[in-house]
Amino acid sequence: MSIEPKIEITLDRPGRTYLPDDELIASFEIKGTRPSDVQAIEASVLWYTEGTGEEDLATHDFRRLLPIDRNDADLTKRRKFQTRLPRSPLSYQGLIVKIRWAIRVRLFMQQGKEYMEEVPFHLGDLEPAIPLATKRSSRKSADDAA
Amino acid sequence: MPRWFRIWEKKRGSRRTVSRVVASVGETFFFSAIFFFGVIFTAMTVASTVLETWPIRTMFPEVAYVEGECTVQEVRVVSLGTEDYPRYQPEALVLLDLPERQHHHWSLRRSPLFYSTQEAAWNRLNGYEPGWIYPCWFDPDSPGQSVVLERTPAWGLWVIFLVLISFIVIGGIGLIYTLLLMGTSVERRSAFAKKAKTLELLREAMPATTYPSIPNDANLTNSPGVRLAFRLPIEVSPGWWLLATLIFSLLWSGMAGVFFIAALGNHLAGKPDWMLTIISLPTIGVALAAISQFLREVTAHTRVGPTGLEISNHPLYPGKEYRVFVTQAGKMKVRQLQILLICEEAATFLQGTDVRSETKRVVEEEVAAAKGFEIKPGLPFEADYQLKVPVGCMHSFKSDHNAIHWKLVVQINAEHGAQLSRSFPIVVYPAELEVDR
Repeated sequence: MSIEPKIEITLDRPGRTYLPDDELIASFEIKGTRPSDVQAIEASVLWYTEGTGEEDLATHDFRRLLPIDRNDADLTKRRKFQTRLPRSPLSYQGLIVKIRWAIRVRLFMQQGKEYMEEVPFHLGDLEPAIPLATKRSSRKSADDAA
Repeated sequence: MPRWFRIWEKKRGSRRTVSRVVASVGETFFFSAIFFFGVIFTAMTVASTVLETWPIRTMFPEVAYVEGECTVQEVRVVSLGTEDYPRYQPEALVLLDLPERQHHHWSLRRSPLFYSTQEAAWNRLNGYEPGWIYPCWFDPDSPGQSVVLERTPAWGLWVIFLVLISFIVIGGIGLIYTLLLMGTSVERRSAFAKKAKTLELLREAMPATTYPSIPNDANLTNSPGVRLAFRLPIEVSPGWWLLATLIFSLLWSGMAGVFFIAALGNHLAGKPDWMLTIISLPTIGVALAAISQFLREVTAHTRVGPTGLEISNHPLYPGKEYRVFVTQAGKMKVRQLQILLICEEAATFLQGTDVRSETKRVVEEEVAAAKGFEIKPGLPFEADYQLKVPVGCMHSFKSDHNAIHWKLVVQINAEHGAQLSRSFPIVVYPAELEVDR
């Protein structure tokens, strides 16, 4: 029985909240596999939509690492990368549209298997959207109280 | 609350239960089949055409014909068909003189020609004089049976080539595309697309944007206002809605008219068709409602003149204050004119084979409201208001299937019952970093 490899992603801010134009520093490490079994690694800083609509996805930063790119050919060692975050789109928790930012690392094995790990983070600090009916009723109760 | 069990339900967009690997293999197989079908049959057709063998020789025998010289000995028009439907076929008796033997044959072209009058058939033979020598074509294997004075172009052969080559092109492109995407992660595809956008030629055409995924506001700031900096464009021209109402009411009224006349005719003839009568009644009701709606729209548009909206700055930022200037022309007594600031989420998705869209309003703030005033011709209503974009709101956003739209909506409620809503799109940027423009 073979053990599945584990992808460990770490962000420089434990709160995982960044502002536009901030520098994001992340690192990742592959555990539980031999370096010779790794065919390629893809690391991306990306956003994608969730909700009622079809999923849209865009990469802000994308790196594909191959064993041939490194002298020691060992892609499992901890690797660090940094990127300056864009000004938009900000993370958003809407009613039918949600925008999520994440760091995604994808591991491609020699046998053709693929593993993926994702760590979400926030770009900006927007409040989640509230349905208009709820907003109106809370405004009305605030007015009544006043 | 328990959900209803659905026996059959369409899957939404990419939320399907199929395996991506199986789908990729299926696509590869499909495009390979089309490609190889095209290649094999094009090769066969080319070989058959060049070597003059079956099946091209059977389908287009003239491909294998050789050119020779024939002497026209006689011309005639053969009567065919019936007395009610006479047909006349022009023919020429040709003499093909080959070294091994002479061939005589009544001919003109391989597919016989027929005319409805004798005169037309004789006209077709103009230019063929008995005793003269003309170029002719024949199959070397059976010259006596195949000789013709006119060779018909093999258009069908070119159509076959075109269809077969289109199979190669469609199959080839599909196969390359499928193989390129096979085993490629969505992130890598997205990175490819992003890289393509940064190619020099494209970069020159589309300057890099400081705010990715926020719609360009160039179209909103290219018209200066009279009082304030920019005059905002209207989202949908009211004329289009009026035209749509007109077309619908005309089409529906036409259909209702046909039903009504047919039902009335049956009643007058003493053979009432009650089913048709029952169907006609609601149809006529809808037609009357559509006509009434169209007339109301016309009345409203003739009384309510154009609406203009100007804004002091653009784009807008949450938490900032701006000035808006509204003008409303026409001839009416207004119960209420209201300006609303609206933010809507919009999502499009595939449901089965249908493309659906859904919108949800997340911000609706009253910017201004004016009540009980009269607009006279040549003296439009004009007012200046303060607008504040709420703090902590999401900025404008646009991707392939999802969007967040901001707009200012002017709603007019007139005394004669006309209610109009005119929408002016705006772009809101994120609050954190305001850039000087």
